[in-house]
Amino acid sequence: MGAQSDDRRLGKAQPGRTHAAMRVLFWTWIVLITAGLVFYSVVGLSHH
Amino acid sequence: MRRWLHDNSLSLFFLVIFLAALVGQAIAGHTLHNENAMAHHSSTMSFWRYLHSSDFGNAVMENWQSEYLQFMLFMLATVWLVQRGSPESKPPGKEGPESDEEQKIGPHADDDSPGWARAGGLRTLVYSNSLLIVMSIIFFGSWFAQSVTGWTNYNADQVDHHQATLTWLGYIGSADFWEATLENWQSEFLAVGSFVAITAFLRQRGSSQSKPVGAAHHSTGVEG
Repeated sequence: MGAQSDDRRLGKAQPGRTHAAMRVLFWTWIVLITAGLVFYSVVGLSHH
Repeated sequence: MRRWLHDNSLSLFFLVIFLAALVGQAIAGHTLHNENAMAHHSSTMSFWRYLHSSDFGNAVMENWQSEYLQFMLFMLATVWLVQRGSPESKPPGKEGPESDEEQKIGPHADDDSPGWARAGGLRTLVYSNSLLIVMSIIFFGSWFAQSVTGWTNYNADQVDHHQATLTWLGYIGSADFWEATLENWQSEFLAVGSFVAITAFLRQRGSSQSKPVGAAHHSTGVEG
């Protein structure tokens, strides 16, 4: 009983949802960084 | 929702303080820029215009590149080099890329291993180095962004002072570019090198970046 509720609480029965949440953060960081460095590369180059 | 926040709290915490610090930098930088402009009897700029300026972009990018250089070098160095006693290091004797079995590659993959770890060939080779590849792309990308925004700033100053401007390649070889680059690199190397050595003897109870409080000083690669 205890182990079963622990499993549910820890999300072990829902690896898809766990991965989806991790993917959201993974892509948030990647998009944020890429947007920043591409944007300021264009800003720097556009003044020439 | 609470579970989602709990399970991802480390990256969410840093995402929030990163954005807060970036906004703070932009506000302070904009104020400083306009104070300097007024002191030199030149035109001020709006906050929105400042966000699109090479001045702000250069200040942001020169710090980004050094952080990702630090990650890139630390990842590469920790494959081949060790520091006895550090939780950041592999134990002496484990230097190198390790065996396929130790790395759970190909036939040694677990049931829930990533597909590209099991696939073999080029896909496994790429995936085996994917962290280094992405860190390197971000490092070189932000270093390039630092160079072009710094180039723009440098030439704007040169024009203001009726001096000759530089080509991009000329700027890459300039003292201005290397002073801005190396002032960031030295602080990253200082932080990483000292952290590796200091963590052999000092502890932070409960942190994954520290050995357990009672771990021996000579035990290496053990995290709390």
